[in-house]
This record gives sequence, structure tokens and C-alpha cells, in this order.
Amino acid sequence: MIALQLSEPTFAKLKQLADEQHVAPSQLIERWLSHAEKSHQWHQKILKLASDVQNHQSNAAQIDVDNIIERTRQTRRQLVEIEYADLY
Amino acid sequence: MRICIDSCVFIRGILDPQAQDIHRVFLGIGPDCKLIIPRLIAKEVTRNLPINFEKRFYDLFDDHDIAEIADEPPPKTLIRKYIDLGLREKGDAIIAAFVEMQQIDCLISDNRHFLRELNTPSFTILSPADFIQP
Repeated sequence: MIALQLSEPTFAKLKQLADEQHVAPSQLIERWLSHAEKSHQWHQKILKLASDVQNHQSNAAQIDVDNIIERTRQTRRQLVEIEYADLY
Repeated sequence: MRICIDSCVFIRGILDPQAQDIHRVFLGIGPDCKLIIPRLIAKEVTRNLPINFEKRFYDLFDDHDIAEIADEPPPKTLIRKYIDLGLREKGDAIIAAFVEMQQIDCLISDNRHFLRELNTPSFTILSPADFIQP
């Protein structure tokens, strides 16, 4: 439980935003905190991923953008023919 | 803002330590910049990653609040629209249709066919480097 003391104008603005989203002011604050926490988690994951990539030296020397684009295009063609054929 | 990242961008970002442009795109994901990709792109990415990176890719999407893999396919009429607009590859047309269906603002891609051949008012198509430009 977090206790907040808001000024009258701040609470009025919060109430307006909450009304626009059809939630209570407290729910809106909970939603913001949840977003902030999830954003923090995402950033931690990306930083961990970047660190792992830095340590994955064997792949670092083989990066070829054109090759990546062509490989993914081939994969897209295969997937579309096999799994998405009924879509078009 | 809602963005979609193409498979080639994900793969370069996950494998290339020098891909600063893509890492900055990744770090920009948050409550104000939601990431939504179709299952098709997720499959393309994992099929082209070393096994030890596959799980890390899916781990990114554990949180479905700011980053999401969507399973719902786009309608056929929308796919046809993008084939008619000049996307010769059916898979590219499916991606473009998905982006419009999900009301995504920007598709981030290195795919030259998207960047040069498709001109649509429905969404913006940018390279990672152009996306992070102020």
C-alpha cells in the first residue's frame, strides 16, 4: 500500500484522466506503477541481452546484414507457403 | 505509440554487438512505445537464431503489457490490398496487413522492399537508424 497526498489541482487532473479511462484514480496510479515496473523489467532484459551478445564473440565476426535479410526472406517464404497458405 | 519490428532487425540486434541503432530502439520500448509483432515474425526470428538465443528472444515477451506477440491473422482483404499496392512477396503483404490491422504507427525494418517499394498512409516504415533520429 502506498499513501499519496496530492494537491487539489493535481488530484483534479488525476480524477479527470481516470474518468476518461473509466477507472478510479487509485486504479490509474496502480496501472502507471505497473507500467513503470514492466518497463524497468524490459530494460533489464535488454541490457542482459546486450551483455550476452557482447560475450558471444563467435557470432560477432559473422554478422552480415544482407545475409540476415536474405535468410529471413527465405524463412518467410517457407512459413507462408506451409503455414499461412490459407490466408491469401 | 505502437511499433512493430521486422525479423531481420531483431536478428541483427540480438546477434550483433555493434548494432547500437537497434539496441536503442529496444531500450525505447515502454509504456509510451508499445511493441507488437505477429507470430510469423517471431517464428522467422527463432528459426534464424542460435539455439541459446531462442529462449532469450521469447523471454523478452514474457511481459505482455509493453511487448506482445499477437496470434490473430490479418483479414484476407487487407492482405490483398498490400499485394495490389506492390508487395510481391505474400509474406511481406501479410506483415503489412497485420501492421494496419493492429493500428501500428511504425514498422521498423531493414527489408528494402518495405523501405523502398511500399508507400502507404496507414503507417510509417523506417530503418532502425531513422527511427531513433530525434
